[in-house]
Amino acid sequence: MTKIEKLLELTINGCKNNDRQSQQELYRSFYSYGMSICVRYTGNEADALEVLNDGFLKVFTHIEKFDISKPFKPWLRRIMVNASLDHIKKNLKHNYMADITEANVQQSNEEAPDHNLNHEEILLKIGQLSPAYRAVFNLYVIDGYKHQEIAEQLGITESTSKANLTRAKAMLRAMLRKEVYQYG
Amino acid sequence: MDEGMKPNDGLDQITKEAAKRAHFEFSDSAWAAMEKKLDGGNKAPFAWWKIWGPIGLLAILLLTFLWPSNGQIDDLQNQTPEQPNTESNENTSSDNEQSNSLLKENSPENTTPNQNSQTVVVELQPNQSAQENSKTILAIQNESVSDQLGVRTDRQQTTEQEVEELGLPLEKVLLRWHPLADLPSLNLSPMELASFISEQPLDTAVSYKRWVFSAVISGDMSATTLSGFKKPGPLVGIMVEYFVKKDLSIQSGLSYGAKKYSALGSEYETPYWAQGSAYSVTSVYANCKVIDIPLNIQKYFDSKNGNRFFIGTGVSSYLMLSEDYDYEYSYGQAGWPEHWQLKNQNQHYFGILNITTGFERPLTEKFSLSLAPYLKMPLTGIGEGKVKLLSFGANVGIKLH
Repeated sequence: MTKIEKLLELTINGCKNNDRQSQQELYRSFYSYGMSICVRYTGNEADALEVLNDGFLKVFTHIEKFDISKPFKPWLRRIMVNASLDHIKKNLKHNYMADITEANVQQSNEEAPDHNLNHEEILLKIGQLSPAYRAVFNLYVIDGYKHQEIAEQLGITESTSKANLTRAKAMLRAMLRKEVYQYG
Repeated sequence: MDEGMKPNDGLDQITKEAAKRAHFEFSDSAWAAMEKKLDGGNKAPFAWWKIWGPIGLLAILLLTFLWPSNGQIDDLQNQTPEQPNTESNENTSSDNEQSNSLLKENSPENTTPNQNSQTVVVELQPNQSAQENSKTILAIQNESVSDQLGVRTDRQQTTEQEVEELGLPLEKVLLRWHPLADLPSLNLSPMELASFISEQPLDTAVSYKRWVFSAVISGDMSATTLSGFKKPGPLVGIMVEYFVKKDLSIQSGLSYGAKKYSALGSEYETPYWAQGSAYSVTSVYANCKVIDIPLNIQKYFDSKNGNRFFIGTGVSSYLMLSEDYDYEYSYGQAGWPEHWQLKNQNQHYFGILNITTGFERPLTEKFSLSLAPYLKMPLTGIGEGKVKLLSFGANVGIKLH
């Protein structure tokens, strides 16, 4: 066990004892990691922070049941993704289907567009996709879910998930090109 | 081929790289917001029972211990009519003294029985039954009354002589003697006086059953919020009560019931499974088989026709025999079960506050029927999900005295 792993175990054990200092330490250590997940699902830092804190609240209230022998990061990632999806679903009730039926995006090639955005800005661009698109894009491309799992989680069909992914990618390419056009 | 299915295109690489390498600077304001959420999240959602529970318990205990007993109530009732009697006795005494002063001149030996009648001391024999004692008292009282009547007859004769000497109208003089002068005219025999007093034994010994057994049945409604009661579960039980006083009992027993309730995911502490804690649970439907062992104190109040009301409070212990949970998720995850069952995993000793009230009606000399609505409030999280489980119902019971 490395020194960092040992430190993390101590911090998690402290959190299990509801120790506020350990909670702060864990929060500080995984703040950036958590935000990088939440930003790409929410599209802005303010909402991302709200979702991040919702996610950490779940972490702290359920940490007693976390198996210390297992890696912490995937567990945290799953919680953050689910907290983000909860956030999207709240705002998705009325326009979810519209995203699928009304979108009319030009097909494009799979080449990466040129851009001069930093990593954080790219994530914010992903977050600017419509909720249905960014949920599928994030889940499939970055978080590694399959279309069947996405369909179950979002309550849509697999074909809708695939269609949304296609449109999401096309839209994101268009957005990144626009950045090049504006600033490049 | 769908574009989404194309592996590792350039856009994927860019976004994955961005997700991996993006850095967001930690800010103290973020932690402050988190801390606020933590403090808010730690607040118990059931704070109301922490306030009303002890207040209710205190009120019941105060009622129980400060409510006057039957003996005290009798004393209070007796005190009111005693006042005029005392005055009457005082008047009689002063009248007697007056008459005695007159009598002393004519027949001083007649004063002795009257004085004796006012200072009779009765000593009850401990080995004598209460009925015999009451008869003894009656005999002494009757003798005293006879003595008094004898004196009054003498007094009346003396007064008549006095009236003749004074030349006053007889009716006017007799008004002064009215209470005593009426008694001879009634011609009361000692037996007639005795008939006013019950032949029942005096209530000097225990005249109530110490132990009372009962069988109860109820429909038990359970929920995690006051508005969440939906489906009753059956409850049957056997109770035993020990009466420390005629109107105060300690109750315990054993009842078996099914607690059927639904809870929101936020009210239910999801367990940690192999696939991680199921934090996306939206609803839980529970069916728990529970042994309830109460320990209550009950205060009784007499009503008409032998009926009684009672109030009670205490604590219960729950032994969870089995817990069946069905889960609903906002989004599922492989490995999160839809159903979960546990057996004999949780026991909550003195973890439930009981509040009950009821009505008891005698059916026969030995049996009575009771109806007792109850409310059970959690003092701790109940079951595997540690839910704040409220229960209410109404026990219908047959009591054996």
